[in-house]
Amino acid sequence: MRHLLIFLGTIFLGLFIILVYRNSHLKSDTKPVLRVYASSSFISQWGPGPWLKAEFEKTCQCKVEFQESIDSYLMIQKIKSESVRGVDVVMGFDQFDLELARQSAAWKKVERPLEDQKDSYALNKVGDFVPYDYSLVSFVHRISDLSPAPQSFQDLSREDLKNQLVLIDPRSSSLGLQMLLWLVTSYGEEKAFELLKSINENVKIYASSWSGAYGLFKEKQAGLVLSYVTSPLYHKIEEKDMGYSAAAFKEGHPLQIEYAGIPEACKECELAQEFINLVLSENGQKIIVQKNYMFPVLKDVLENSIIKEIPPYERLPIPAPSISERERLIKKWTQLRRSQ
Amino acid sequence: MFAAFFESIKFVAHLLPVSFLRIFFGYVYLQQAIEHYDLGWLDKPALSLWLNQALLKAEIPPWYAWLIENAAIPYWQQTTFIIIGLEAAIGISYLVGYLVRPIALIGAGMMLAQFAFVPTLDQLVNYKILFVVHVFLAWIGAGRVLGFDYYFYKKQRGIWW
Repeated sequence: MRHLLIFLGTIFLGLFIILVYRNSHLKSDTKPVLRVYASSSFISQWGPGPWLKAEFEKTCQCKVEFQESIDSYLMIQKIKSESVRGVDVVMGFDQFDLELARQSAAWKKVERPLEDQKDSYALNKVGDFVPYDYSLVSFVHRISDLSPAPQSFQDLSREDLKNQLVLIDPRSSSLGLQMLLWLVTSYGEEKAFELLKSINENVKIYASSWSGAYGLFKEKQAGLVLSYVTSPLYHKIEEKDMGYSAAAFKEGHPLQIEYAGIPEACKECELAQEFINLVLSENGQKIIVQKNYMFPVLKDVLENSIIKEIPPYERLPIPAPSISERERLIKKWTQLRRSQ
Repeated sequence: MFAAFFESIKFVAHLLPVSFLRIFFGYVYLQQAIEHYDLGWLDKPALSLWLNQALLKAEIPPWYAWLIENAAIPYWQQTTFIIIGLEAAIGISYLVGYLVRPIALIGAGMMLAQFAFVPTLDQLVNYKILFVVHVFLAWIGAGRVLGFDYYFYKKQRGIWW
């Protein structure tokens, strides 16, 4: 036992000394670090994160450090557990996350520059969060694989779509929750769950995040995936492939708006505001369009970008549910999944 | 032939290859500890993200979820420090064959704790295999072959070598 204690003590003491040495070494580098929480798709090498970081670091005399979170719901959990550590900026909440985010942490008031240039959608600042992009939600498919393309949720239970659907878990992803609310708003709760039961027969997998779901779809593991009306544009531009389309549903399509916020416990609060200013600037919004494939909130950028090519889809307004209502629906969804 | 089958339990030449298995595991654990350190696990809350994802899994027992939520996540830096330290301890112990028995039991305990975290069947199987390997190394006292445990075993005997 004595040997074991001495051995473990030596290892931990060694690790502790290395840490102390490294921390004292790091302190000599005085550049402030801006910590930004964002989704994996935002900070990946093909996403807008690295471009915004490079642009910001040109002038800020600081370092931008991204912290990855697979989905906004997980991001809230993360902030909840680490609020004392001081996160500076959080990117990627949608309108259904805001109440939960407010409940999980205190947020600073975010200034929104260029207020007069906002897009035709009513993207007004919502209290302490500021919108930076948006898109309508839809089901994306390869044109050659599905004929005819589904035009409603009822079509998703078609026999030829057996094992063709990749949906997203509403427990872990806000986009997954969007689909559930989309169904409930379109059909009423009872009919929506009946329909979901038959749609589930065709589901190959419920992925935990959008990136996981879209990855499976891209690998041709499925023919239809829950995504955005802007997704086919990605294939057109990045892969020169015109063979993708976003289905137009007669029920209409929900709008997902992405927000940025600054937690009250931020360490580099001024830099955080400057970073948000960059995201909302003309240059930042162009990066969002080119790398995130979402609609910009600046009207001028929208008018002059390729994203304008996307055909109009009918919008279905979905009111944000309360936290208890959201939890009740998710519980009902979980029970349905377990019973199948 | 059947007599030879039962007599074969006396055959011990396989213990030398087992020591190579131990050394290989030591290398893997030490590399993992260094990788976690290099990736900045002590500065970034990578562990708490992982734990948060684990919390979404319905199969986690409530007491374990409580432990994660109230101890491991709020004190993620301390938890990460302990995990990296233990990984380094397992790595060094297995590489040089010192204190393999008690350290292997700690390794088995770590694997046992991870059963509750794993999101997919594949990973669950991996953790189970690793658990069995640790128990196996502890059982045979793998540090006594090509390791310093042999010196202490000769000198002191006892179950820890």
